[in-house]
Amino acid sequence: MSTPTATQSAVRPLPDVVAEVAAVLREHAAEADRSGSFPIVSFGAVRRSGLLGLLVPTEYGGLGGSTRDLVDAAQMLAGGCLSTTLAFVMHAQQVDTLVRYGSPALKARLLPRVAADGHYLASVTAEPATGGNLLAADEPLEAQADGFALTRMAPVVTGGRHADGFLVKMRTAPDAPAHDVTLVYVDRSQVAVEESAGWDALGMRATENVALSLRGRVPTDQVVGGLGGFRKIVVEAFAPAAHLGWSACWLGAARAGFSGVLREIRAGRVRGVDHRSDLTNQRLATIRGRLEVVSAYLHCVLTEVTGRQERGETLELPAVQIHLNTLKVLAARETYAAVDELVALAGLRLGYLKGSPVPLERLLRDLRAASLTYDDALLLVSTGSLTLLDPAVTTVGD
Amino acid sequence: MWDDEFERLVRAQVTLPPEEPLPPDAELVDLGLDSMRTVTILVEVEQAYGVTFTDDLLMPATFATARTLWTALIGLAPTRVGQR
Repeated sequence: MSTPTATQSAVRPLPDVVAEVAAVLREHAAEADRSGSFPIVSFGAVRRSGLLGLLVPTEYGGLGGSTRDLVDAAQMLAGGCLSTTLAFVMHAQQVDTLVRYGSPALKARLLPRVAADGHYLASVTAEPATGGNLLAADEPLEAQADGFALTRMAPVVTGGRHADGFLVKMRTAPDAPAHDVTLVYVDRSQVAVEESAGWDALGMRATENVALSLRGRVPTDQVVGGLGGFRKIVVEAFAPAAHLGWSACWLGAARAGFSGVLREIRAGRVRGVDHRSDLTNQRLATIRGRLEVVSAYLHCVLTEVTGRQERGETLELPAVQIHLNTLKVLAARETYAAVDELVALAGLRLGYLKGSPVPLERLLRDLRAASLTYDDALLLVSTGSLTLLDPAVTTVGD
Repeated sequence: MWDDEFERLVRAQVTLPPEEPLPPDAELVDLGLDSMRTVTILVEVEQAYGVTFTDDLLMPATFATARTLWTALIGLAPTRVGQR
């Protein structure tokens, strides 16, 4: 983890705070998975630690952390509980977006609450009519005196029952085309919220994705990034934060699984696995190689993205977008493959049973969702198009 | 400003009422241009005019508006494009 930049780090270094929270997450991960409901205890530990304010600048009372701090924290936390960490990373993605694109008035009202009270922000992008098309919206904002009215069906909201506020993707106006999209902050206190329960999934069970219906009005200064500004937000902040954060989560979870199996092998507790056998060593090397590739690519893309952001350069270059998309797809595939191979290596008892000392069966179910979390198929179509705009083949690190 | 072929190729990839002329300075992304449609315009313009966009032109700025794209095309093939 990088040198702490946070105000609270004068008292406690950030890695220590994260390690302590990760231990709580690890302790409660199995129960959160079993219940399939939001991880109240684990998320409470995240909230009390101040980590919900990780990306909030110090001037608003936050930890003033960087994207690199987020990536490091996400890896460590995900080794404890991937569901809790994904909810945390998605919250951090909303914070990053607000910090970069929120109006001064909104930031002054909201960011201190995030930092001091652990005000939890959820993302509302999917909707029934536009499905997974991130850059299109159906239900419109309706302009009123001093603000906007909105009615929004949200079929999939991670942590939606517990969020204190939402960043909501809307069509800019009733007469605007579907690609004219605006992001707006909606506080839970400003809307009537109807919830439909029913999240009973194979994996990532504690993310408790629920359907919400939001109806209310918001003042004009809660438009984030200007009317019609969502596309720019996606390119410059929203997608980069998601792809970097998710990849860090998946890598951290897979690393923890691998680490657990290595310790079991060294202790001689994995039946049928001989550390002197060529087959065992080839399998270990292959798994390690997958994790190394993801880690290297994650850090290369992280360096490229944060460098451009710090220099005030756009991320809207075909090559940069290709790198960000490739990171997400690569991390999803390789971490899942690594854990699948870990299950094969560890065998039925250690690798497949609930209650195993290494939670490989949960990891496998959780990581199966990675390629579906913003569908790899959609990203590959986009990436394929972008390659034709970069015939020089500008690979990351060039 | 530009010829009919260019107008036809660009219009096909953006959202615009049939009666409305293609605006020279409107941001094409605001008219619905995404990466796949950008590539479609690129490939069709290259084939229609027999040109190859150089790598340094494959920037968002080139595809920002109809005018910036037409200007880039004139730079590549000043004798092959007809102005109206």
